[in-house]
Amino acid sequence: MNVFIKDIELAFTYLFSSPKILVVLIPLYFMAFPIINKFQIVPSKLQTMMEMVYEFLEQQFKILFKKEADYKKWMPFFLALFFYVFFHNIMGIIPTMKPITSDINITASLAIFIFIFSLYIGISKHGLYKYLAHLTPSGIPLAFRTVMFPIEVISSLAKPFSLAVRLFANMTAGHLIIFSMFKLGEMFGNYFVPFDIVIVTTLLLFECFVALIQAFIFSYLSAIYITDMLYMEH
Amino acid sequence: METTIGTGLSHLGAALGMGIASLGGAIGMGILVSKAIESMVRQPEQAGVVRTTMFIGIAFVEAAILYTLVISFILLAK
Repeated sequence: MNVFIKDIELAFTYLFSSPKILVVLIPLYFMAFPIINKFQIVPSKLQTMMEMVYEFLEQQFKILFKKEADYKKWMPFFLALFFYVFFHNIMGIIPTMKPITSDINITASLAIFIFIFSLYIGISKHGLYKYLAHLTPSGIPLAFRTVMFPIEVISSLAKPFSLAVRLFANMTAGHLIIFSMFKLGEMFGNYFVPFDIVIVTTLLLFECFVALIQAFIFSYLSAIYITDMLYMEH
Repeated sequence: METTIGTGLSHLGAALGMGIASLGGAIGMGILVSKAIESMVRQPEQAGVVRTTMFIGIAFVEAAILYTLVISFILLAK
């Protein structure tokens, strides 16, 4: 389903109908960086960058985990998720390419995977009854809890939806704004070109920032959902 | 594409919805950043933590606006 507005193509699912699917594999190189290049004591430039990113993520994620062993076990997953989403986002700044995460199939499949994964962890670790009881806060009358239960079920189903649409909308919007700025240049003619260059460059830099922030938020929120299921406290 | 009252109204709705959403989002972001700056000035040693939390908050507010953007694109594409 590709939607056209005037001549702007709004591709909801462009990826799976073309051989571009191979670019999904590019982030795998960066994710496999520690395996391909052994870490050295005196770091190279790329390694220093990776270490800076890792230290920032460690500082943010460590608070979520109650036990050191859990942190050791789960951190590689979230780190991989972060780099996967980040390199997909940053691909949009290469000319003629779109960020792959501006396809809702990719973001929705990641989000649904994380939702099912968190459900599995919650139910297998604490049992189905405790999981259902956890949905509503304890310590309030039973009548309230029965009224609140359907609302809480809907709100927990909305989690993967918001996770998917947030990333998709951010990436699509940034790309479309740059595109419409180029269209504006065509409309106003040659006098507009210097302004256009400045505006588009600024927007591209902003896009890099948004790509980083959105990748962080995606992995951070999925960490919150999973640790919530891991400890289940109320 | 032939222009009917229906398509005209849906285009109007898309533009109005986007405007209202960005109005609310802008007010929210203004409050968020002003409070963050206030707390950064009061406690400069916590500035790093506040800044990170502020950016996460801004991204959430922005996401709420962008949900409307998706809806208005759906309206436009009809």
